This record gives sequence, C-alpha cells and structure tokens, in this order.
Amino acid sequence: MRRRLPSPRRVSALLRKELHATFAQPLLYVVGGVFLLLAGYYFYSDLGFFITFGFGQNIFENFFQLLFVDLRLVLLLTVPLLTMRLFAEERKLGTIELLFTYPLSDLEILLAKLIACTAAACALLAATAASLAYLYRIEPFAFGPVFTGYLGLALLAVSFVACGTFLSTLTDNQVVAAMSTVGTLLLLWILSWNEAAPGIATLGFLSRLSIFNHFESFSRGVIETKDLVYFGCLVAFAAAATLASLGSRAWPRSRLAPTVVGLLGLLVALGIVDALAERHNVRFDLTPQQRYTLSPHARRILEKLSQPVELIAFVRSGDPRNASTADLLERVGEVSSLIKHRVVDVNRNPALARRYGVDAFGAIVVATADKHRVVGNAREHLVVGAILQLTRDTRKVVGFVGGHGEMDPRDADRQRGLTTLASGLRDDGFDVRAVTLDGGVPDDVSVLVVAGGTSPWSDGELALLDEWMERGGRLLALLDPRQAPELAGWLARRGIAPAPNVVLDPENRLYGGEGVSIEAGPPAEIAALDAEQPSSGVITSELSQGVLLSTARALELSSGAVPLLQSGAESWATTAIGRAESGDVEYDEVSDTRGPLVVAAAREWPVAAAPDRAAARVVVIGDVDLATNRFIEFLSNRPVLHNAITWLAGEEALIALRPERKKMGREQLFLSAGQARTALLLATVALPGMSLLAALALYLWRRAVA
Amino acid sequence: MIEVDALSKSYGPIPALREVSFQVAAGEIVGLLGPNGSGKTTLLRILTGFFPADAGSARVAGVRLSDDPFEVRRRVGYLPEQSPLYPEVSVRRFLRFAADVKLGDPERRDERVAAVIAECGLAAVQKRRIGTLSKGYRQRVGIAQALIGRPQVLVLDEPTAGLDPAQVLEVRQLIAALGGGTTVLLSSHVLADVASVCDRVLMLHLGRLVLAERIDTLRRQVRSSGELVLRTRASDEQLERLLSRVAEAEETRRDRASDGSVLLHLSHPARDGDEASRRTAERVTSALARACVEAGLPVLELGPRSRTLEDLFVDLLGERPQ
Repeated sequence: MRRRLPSPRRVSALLRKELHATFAQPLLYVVGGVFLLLAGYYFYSDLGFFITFGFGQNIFENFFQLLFVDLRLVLLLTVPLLTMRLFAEERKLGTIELLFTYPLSDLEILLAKLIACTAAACALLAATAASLAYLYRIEPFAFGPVFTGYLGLALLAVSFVACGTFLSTLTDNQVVAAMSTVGTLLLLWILSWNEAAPGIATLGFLSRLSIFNHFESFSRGVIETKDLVYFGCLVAFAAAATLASLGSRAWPRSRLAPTVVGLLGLLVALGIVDALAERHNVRFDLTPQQRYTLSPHARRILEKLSQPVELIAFVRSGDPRNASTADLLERVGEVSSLIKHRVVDVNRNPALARRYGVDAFGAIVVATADKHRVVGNAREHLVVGAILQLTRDTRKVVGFVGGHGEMDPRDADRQRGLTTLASGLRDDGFDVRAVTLDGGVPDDVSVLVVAGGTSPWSDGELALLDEWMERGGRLLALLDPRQAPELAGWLARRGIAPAPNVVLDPENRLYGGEGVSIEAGPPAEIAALDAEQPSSGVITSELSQGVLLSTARALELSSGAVPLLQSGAESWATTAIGRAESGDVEYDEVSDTRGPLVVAAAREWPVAAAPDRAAARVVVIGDVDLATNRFIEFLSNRPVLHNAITWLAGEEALIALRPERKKMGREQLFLSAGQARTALLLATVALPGMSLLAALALYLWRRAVA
Repeated sequence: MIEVDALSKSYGPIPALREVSFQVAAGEIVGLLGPNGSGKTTLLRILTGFFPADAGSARVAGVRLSDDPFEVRRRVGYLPEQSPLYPEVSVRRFLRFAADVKLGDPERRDERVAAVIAECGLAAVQKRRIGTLSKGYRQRVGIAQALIGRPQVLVLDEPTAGLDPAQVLEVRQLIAALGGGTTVLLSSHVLADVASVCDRVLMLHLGRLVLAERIDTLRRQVRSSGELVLRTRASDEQLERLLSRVAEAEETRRDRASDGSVLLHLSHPARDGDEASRRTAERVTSALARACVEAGLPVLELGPRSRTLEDLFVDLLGERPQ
C-alpha cells in the first residue's frame, strides 16, 4: 500500500474545519472562563504571597515560578475538556466514517486536530499574559524566565493534548475521554510525587517519566535540551498510539499483537533517545544573572579536581526543594567525571545518614576517600567550597590583623562585623583567623588583611610587615580616610598612597544612599582585560556591576601599581572629610580634586624568596565599609573582596566571579492598594468574564441564526 | 466500474462477508438488498476504503483497493448510513470543507459547491446550521457531500432510512436524476427503493451473495409463480374431500380466519411462466371451482396468488425483511 506524506492543502482544509469547531463553539469559551478564573485566582494569591512574604526576594523564584507551577495544574484540569471531543464526538456523530472515507490519511486528520486543540490551549495561556502585562507596567521585569515559563506550559499543553487525543480515540463518550485523560495525567504527575512507594532506583526511573519533573526547569527560567527531547518523545509516542488506535479499524485479528509489540519497541527507542538526551544535556539559562548556571569560578575549581568526590543529597520524599537539590548535583557532576552524585531518602537510609552525621533534610554530603563534609544548604558556592576544602592539600590561611581597632572576622555586628565575608572565604576553602603581629606574621598565614583600624601602628610592627613582605608576603589593606596614617605612609612607599580625602559623587548617588556612598567600577583598560591573563586586573575585570563604597578615599599611584577601581566621571575628592560626612560640602576648584579617582589598586614586585613566593603582592582599597556584613552583599562587593584575596593567595585561576545576589532597588514590587485591586479584578473578573461573555454571545448568535 | 472478487471479512470470530463476488458496469444503478446484519454496510465500507477486506480483491473506478485506497476514496462518493454530519456547521461551510478535501483544484471549489447545492436543492438552507435542518434536508446534504468530488462511483448506504414518505420520494427522485453516467451502488432493506430506481439487485444474506439479478427479470418471475389461493367455508373433512377430487393441486398451507372462513394455499406442478404452465393454472382453477360448487361450498376467493418482491425475499432468506 502506498504511503502518502501529509499534504499541506488537505491539512489546512482539515485545520480550518477544526479551528471552526474549536473557536466558533461556546465550549472553548466556557472552558476558557473556568481556566482564566482558576489562573486568575492563582495569579492573585501568588502575587499576594510574594508581596507579603517574599518582599525584596527574587521575583522569579518567589512569584513567577509559583505561578507557572500553579498554571500547570490548571492546564491539567482544563485541557482534557478540550481534547475530549476530538475523536469521541466524531465517533458519536458517525462523522469519523466520513473522514475515513475522504481522501485523507489518519496522520493528516491527527495533525489538524493536534494543531487546532494546541492552539486553543495556547490561546488560553496567552490570555493569562494580560495580568502579567499589567504587572510589567507597574514594575518591568526580565522576559527570559517568563518566556521559558510559558514555553514550558505550551509544551505541557501539547503533551496533554496529545495524550487526550489518544484517549479520545478509544471511546465515543466524551465524559469517559475527559476523565480518563485527567486520570492519566494525574498518574504521570503522581509518579514523581509519591516517592515513598517505590524504591530509590525505581523512583529515579519514575521521576524521569513524570511530565512535571520535566517542567521544573522551564518554570525556573532554564531551558534544557533533555526536557525538550522528553516532550518531543512523549508527543511522538502519543501520536503513534493514536495512529495505531485509528488504524485498528483496518486490522485483521492478527495485527493486534505486532502493533502492541511495535508500540513497546517505539517506547524503548524513545526511552533510549531520552536517556541519550539526558546524557548530552545542554542548558540555556535565561534568568537574569544566570542563577542556575554554574559560575565560571565554580567551573574552574571543579575542572581542576584531581581526586574522586562523591556528593550525596539526603532528602525527604515530597520535599519541594528536591528538584533544585538534584539539579544542583547534576550541574556540579556534569563538569568532571571524578564527581559522582546521588540522591538518598533519609528515611530509607538512616544508617547512611548517621554515618555522615546528617541530621537535616536537604543536606548534601561531600565526601572524598577519607574525609567528608556536610553542607546544610543546597547552594552552589557552599557545595563547591566544600569540594575545594576537601580536595586541597593544605588550606590557605587568611589572617585578619588585630590590635589597632580593626574590624573583626568574628564580629557579627551589622555595621562593623566581617562574619559574612569570613564565612564566604571559608566556603571558598580558606581558613580565616584573627592574628596579631607580636613576634611577626605567623608562618602559616598566606594573606594578611588589614580592615581599617583607629590606633596607630608602631615602627616595630611596620618593620615586621616589611620583613614579611620581603619573604613574598601578601597584604590586603582596606583603609577609610583618616585611618592608620602610619600604614598609609608605609603603603605610599610601596607605590600606592592613600590620600587624606573623601570621594564624593553626588550626581551618581546610589538609590537612597548617603551622600558619601559611591559606586566604583574598573577603569576602561582593566575592563578590557582578558580574565585568563596573569595580572592583578583579574580582580575587577569581569565584575558585572560596580562596587558600593561608603566614605572612600582616593589612592595616588606610582609606576607599577595597577588601578582596579575608580570613581565616576562626575565625582571629586575633598579633604574636608567631616563636612562631607554631614553632607554640607560643595565642589571647590582650588582645593578639591576632579574625578575619576582611583579607589582600589594592586601592585606586585619580585622578591628573592621561596619559588612559590617569588613576588610580594599588595591590594589597597580606599574603603573598609564594603567588607562589612551590611554592605558585602550589595552589587559586586563580595566578588571584589574574594577576588582580591584569591589573587593575593596566588590562586588566580580560582578568581570568583560570583553572581551578585541582590540588586538594590530592583526585583522588588510595590503595589498600591488600588493597583492590587485592579490586578484582582483583571485576573479574576475581567478575563474570565470576557471569555464567558464570548460564550454567551456565541450561544445567542447561534440561536438567532437558527 | 466495480469488480468484486471473493471478498471476505470477519469481525473477530464473526464472519461478516463470505467470498462475495460481483461486477457493476459503468453507469449502472445497482441495489444491495439484505436484512440487517447481512453484511451490506461491511461491503460498502470496504468498497469506500474505510477498512480493507481480510481476503479477496476489489477494483473500484479502475483502481485496486489494496493498491491505493486513497485514490479510490477520491473517485468514490459515499453517503454512510444515517448520513452523519457536523450539526454545528453551516451547509455551505461543510460542503466547502468536503470540496477542499476532495477536489484537486481549490480555485473551482466555490463553483462546484454552488453546483452541488443547486443539484441537491439546498439553496434555501445553505447558510443554516446542519443541526437545524429537517431529516430530509440532512439526507440531501449527505448526498451533496458524496457528489462534491465528481465521483465516478456513488455509494449510498440506506439513503431513505428514517424518512417520511414524501422525503423518501424526493430522495429517490434525486438519485434517479443523477445524470452523467454515474455508477451507483445503493443499499437498502426497503424493496421499493431498489425496485423504483435500480437496474439490478444484489442480495446478501448472512454475508453471502444469494441473488444477483436484473429487476425486470425478478418482476417476471413474481408474476408467474404457479400458486393458487382458495377461500371458502368448510370443515377440515369437507376440505379433504374437496382436495382429493383435484389431483393436480397440492395444499401448501391452511389458514383459518376468525369469520369462520378458511384460506388454502395450493401449488400446481408448472412454475416456469411458460404457456403450458398458464394452461395448467387455468385447468386447476376451473377444477377447483367445479369441485366447490358440487360440494356446496361457497367460493369466497379463488385465483392465482398475487406475489410481491417481498415474497421473493422470504423465499430466499427464509425470513421476512423489515
């Protein structure tokens, strides 16, 4: 028998018929009204949740992701109402006999129905975008994650339509078709849900089958090729099953078994395709700041691994965080073949959990052959930090100098404490200690940090510092105006002179910041550097944002010193520090200096010491506040400090370019009471109402015409 | 135009068609008769490419079904039983859809749709939704969609089922008026349909072809069947005596009516409708009349039994068609 390719002419004729049967009938608009009402309810309640509890948090994780996950359920409940009639109605009316005796192939009939019904489901989804458009008018947000969310929903819709179409061929009763579709989809959902039932290996297999696990990444703003392939396979299988069901009218008895075997064979083939796709997965992270992509920093660390590492996540069945935990393990595991990873149910493996001392759900154990460390939170930098700590031969020590009123790495105070910086450094694999210079710099210290300080340095201390630098010492000095004049003089002799002034930038005051807050960025020549070049420029060359400084002083550089950060073009420096701090100062052409002014710099010079310490290195930043618990998470403050210390420690390859966690004044949503009311009315009244009105209008019009 | 050779088909263990063979010439209008369950619809579905036969072969409009059912479907117009249609669609939209699918040339679609609407008398209702039409109109729409692709063969499954007498007449006229040498195969269990429009009759029973004959031949057979009826009032004893006196008549059936009369069915040897048979009939009839008068029995009715095509059915099928 000759097989024919689908003809565009016949498919388009069928498609016109199907579109008319879908869009010109009241059913779609009644279903649409229910769909939009549920979607609107979720929109409003998720928005309310975000505004109440997620304020200042990432809007994508705390609003859009919830919304997309909720819309998934709404699709599950409504798409079967659209697919139920596709073949069941044709059977009931007997019109299927017309289609089967017209010069149409089953594939053409199926294509037209799939396309038309998917178009209807997508039209319903598109209508929900009206509410998002209203939000966008109030506070613009990035399109990337919203796009992937809708892409994922559209793929779910196609899959639901394909399943529903198949089930609709098995009966001439539309209610049976709809109910069996809802049941099947729920089953595919529950597969990944009821993790307690099957064993852990079965669970891995089942959750791979679950439609909804494959939606997870889309809802977060990430497109993964394995998910695209999965949806493709699912639709292909449902379509093949539908064609087999339609073709069964022509079967002799003997065809049933071969067809079932054929479908099973197809299932196995698609399973292999899916497994291959899983293995060769490519991710496209469309979130702003690429939240779900391994940072280049982490990647570099993992690529340098020299010994096997096992990651074990201890989870509890049904925990909503499981997906992102597993996802993190996968991202980390992808980088190196030395990393093995698995997810373990705590309740099933209490002995294993006890062995590693795990006492919390969601903990990840990082284990090498002889050591292990428990990470309490599935965060990339924590896991990578633990890997780094365990696999390094010796941990380098960062010593915070004390004794002159410096800020302390053990102090949790918001204004003055450095605990946030210290714990971040530990995560990066450093040991952090407070040290004094009595009797010289301890031998095991790799990097010395001077964080401000109000008391004077003695000549003896400076001599000890000199001696240490001659041995290839490494120093990070964070000095506000007026702080440590003796140390400032010592630094001046080494090519970086902190000036006794304060830098102001009233034109570029940060959102609501004080007058003395400025945003500094790398000078053009540094920004143009390649990160792979061995230069101190790597400290700032790849920062994605500026650095927030408060009461910063300018630095004057001699030759050999490299400027790392400078203030804006409109900035200027004044020596009237006291007046500047109280905001009572104007630019004075005579005494003040015009910007841009260097506020951070580095210098290295060769010394005759041990081969691994062939150069002394210094980094100076004209501000200490950027390192405090209060400021460290703003803009690129943390990356610049981590980078400076990493460079000083001689670990340039590990320079962190970590994505900043928080942007001041962005990703926050303020709604007035009136705006909230408008959002509510739009989502739960106007949109569903319009759909129901359309249904009523169609009904009345058809009655009038009849 | 239709050549069917030893077609068989079964549904699971139940045979629906058993080695059916026949031919239909171009331009012929052929009726397919048979009681419900005789395999008519199965046969038509095979010939229209709905599903294939299990065994045997068929050639429709010059194309072997097993080679290219797709092409057969293009050349055949089919009205399925009970004329299934989309109730929510207007007559014209539906016919346009059918034309889009069946006509190779989309530009002449509207022209063809208009022609079919005129031919089937649908002009007045072309903008109405099919669901609002009377059954007669719906049947016309069904025939219109079958005609839209200029089929070489038109297959109609029970085209008059469920229609009132006026509508039946309309549909029959519509079929009879199909000009242009279209070959028509129509199934029915209403004998009158077939008798009024068909040239030839095929009869199926339990999946077998039990009759393939021209209508006029059948009519002739019916007229000369060699049977007589006699109605009188008599006891069984009197009747036995009466019949013993007319040796050539043999009783086949005896029905007593509530008014006390009795109806005798009698047969006589000659059946072939020739001159000898006619004379035999005359002789037996007058012998019976004489015997009655001599026995003093009233002759309430006497003559050849008037047979219909339906009686022929009964003879062939052993049961009465609906």
